[in-house]
Amino acid sequence: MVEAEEIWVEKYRPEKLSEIVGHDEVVSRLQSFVEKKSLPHLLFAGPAGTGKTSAALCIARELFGDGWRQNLLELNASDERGIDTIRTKVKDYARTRPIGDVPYKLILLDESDALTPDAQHALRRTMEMYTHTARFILDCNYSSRIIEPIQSRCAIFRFRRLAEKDIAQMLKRIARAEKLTLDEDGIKAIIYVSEGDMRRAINVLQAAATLKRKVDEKVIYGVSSAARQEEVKEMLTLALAGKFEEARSKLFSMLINQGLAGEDVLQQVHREVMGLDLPEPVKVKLIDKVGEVDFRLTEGANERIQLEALLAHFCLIGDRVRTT
Amino acid sequence: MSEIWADKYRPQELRELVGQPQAIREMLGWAESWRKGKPSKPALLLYGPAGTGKTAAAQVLAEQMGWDLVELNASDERTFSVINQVAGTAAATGTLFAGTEGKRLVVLDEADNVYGVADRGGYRAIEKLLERPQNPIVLIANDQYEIPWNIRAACLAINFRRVQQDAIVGALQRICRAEKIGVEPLALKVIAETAHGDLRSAINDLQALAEGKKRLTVKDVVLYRRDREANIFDVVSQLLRATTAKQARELLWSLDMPPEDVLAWIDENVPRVLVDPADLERVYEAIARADVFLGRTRRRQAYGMWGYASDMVTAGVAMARQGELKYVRFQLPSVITKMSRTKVARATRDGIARKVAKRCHTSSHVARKDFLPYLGVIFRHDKKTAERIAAELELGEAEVGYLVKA
Repeated sequence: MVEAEEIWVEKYRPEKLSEIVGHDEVVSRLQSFVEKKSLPHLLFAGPAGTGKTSAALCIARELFGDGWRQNLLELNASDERGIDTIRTKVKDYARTRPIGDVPYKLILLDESDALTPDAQHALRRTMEMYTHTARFILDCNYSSRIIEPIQSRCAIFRFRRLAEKDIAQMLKRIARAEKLTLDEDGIKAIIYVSEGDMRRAINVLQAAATLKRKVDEKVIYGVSSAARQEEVKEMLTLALAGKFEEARSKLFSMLINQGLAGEDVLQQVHREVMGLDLPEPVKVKLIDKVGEVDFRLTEGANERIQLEALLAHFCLIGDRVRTT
Repeated sequence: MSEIWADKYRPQELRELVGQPQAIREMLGWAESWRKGKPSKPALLLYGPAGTGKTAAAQVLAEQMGWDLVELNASDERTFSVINQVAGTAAATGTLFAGTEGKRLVVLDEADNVYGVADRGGYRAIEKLLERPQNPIVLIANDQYEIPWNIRAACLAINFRRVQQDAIVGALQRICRAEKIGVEPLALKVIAETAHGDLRSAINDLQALAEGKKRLTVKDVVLYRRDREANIFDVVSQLLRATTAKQARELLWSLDMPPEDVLAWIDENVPRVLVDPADLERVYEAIARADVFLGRTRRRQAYGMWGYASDMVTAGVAMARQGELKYVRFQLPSVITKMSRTKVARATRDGIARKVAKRCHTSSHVARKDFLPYLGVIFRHDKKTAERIAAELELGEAEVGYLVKA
């Protein structure tokens, strides 16, 4: 079924564990599981774009060879409608025997920390129930958001943020294969705008390549702004200038039109605060405020209202800084 | 205010009951069977929407049959400790009213609302009562299916329908004649229409509009209706001007609107009204706190949190505002219209995101955040690559259009 991959994230996704960059320790332990064909349940924890999904897919390929797609069920906790859907899918899938000589099938549950603790307890029971026919690989950003009973049943692997040299190595490889010119400043710029997230870095490079075959710093910042990556910063600048309504309409555009999650916007706000033109102690207070808003969102508050309140706070800070 | 018209003009006999001929026949038949000492069913269950005459019917029935009337409210938990004393024994001989046949008609109002006392044996007490009834019983409920089936089975269930518009107009006309108020016929029709079959609310509206007047016109009625809907504008404006917490809180009582909706109105309008950024910040913090309580209500089904949300959105907002206010026209919350305007585009976007998510082993929210913006750049600048990607993802025409424009 695999025709030419047009999206570079997939085209250049590693197919063997040995091709995964930046996690030598993790990779060698995973390789030994695969060699013995004996796999515990796995918990992969780490930030976005560090290779968790790639590692899981490589394990499936190496265990099952060509039949890997039939022996892997991919689920995404944030897209399934609740734990009951997940349980039903797991049940239907794990009921039949795996194809080939491996005695179990694989179930990859991405973004598993999106499940509430109650849902995770239900998941734990499901894992127990099918432990003879299925192995779970759970991906998450923070292992601390996974309940203890699940953690204790899994071998935990931490995927650290990739080093710049690892991302650079990958970008160069792609540039060579795609016959692009990519200079050092271009690479630095990609790493900066993608915040060390390999997936985003590759997407930025692919988008840049459609603008110019010679990819430099200027092209990268052009792509970044064309892909509206500057909007959070613009929103904050407007709020600090006292233009609440304009800032708010940017916020609405991100949440409603682009469909970003409140947490995503907040995460970017968090990142931008340090770079704002504000006295240093003020930045710290703002970060405290951002954290409070983030906590409220995890408690089920409405992201739009909470972010608006945060913008109102930025307005006030801007006003105070101007008048003193 | 003088007497409430809905009480003043309560029917004196069952045949005066407006708009429920079928119900009246069935009730009389049942009462007759009790009088003969051979009850067809121990109890009546009168069910139907508010303001259709259920309670009035029970009261009139007692009068007409010469029975003493004992009214109990089923949602009152003391009810069940007294229920057997009152209902389980025959009335003492020589009751206060001469000519009663020593029977009491026990009326249990809000029988579908035994919430909170159910676990203290509320329905069991009713059940027991129905096993060996000494007295005729009437249960009254809005929804018959909220009553446990075994209790329902012991009852003759009688449906009170929404009162027809013509019947309501007729009833209102009789009241106007008795009160000596001249009235344009169309005015009553408008009131009846608004009432949706609820006769009591129609009579209440009539009283609010016409009491003390010589003549009621269509214009009066229409203005009154608009007044009811426009209220929110005044409430938001008064809220921001309230000087005490109590005053602010009570404003919500005058308005039949949940705190979420009030919150949406305040959210929409405060940025235009407030002058001082400190006010804006404080007001938004009050709204945000209200929202936190609403979130807890939703997430943990902790309905007790509602009260705090209401107070924060009223008193909290009022006390947060200290500086001056600009005079502006209040606007309807724009988020709702924004949501409906963008509905099609958002559905298209989410469709693309799902396809990308599947192809690239990720979630649709990551697809929206980390793929769609870059696909947009590609689709705008490189038609050939765009075509190949579109083919690979099996994108439809609308989806390609979205990416090109996004």
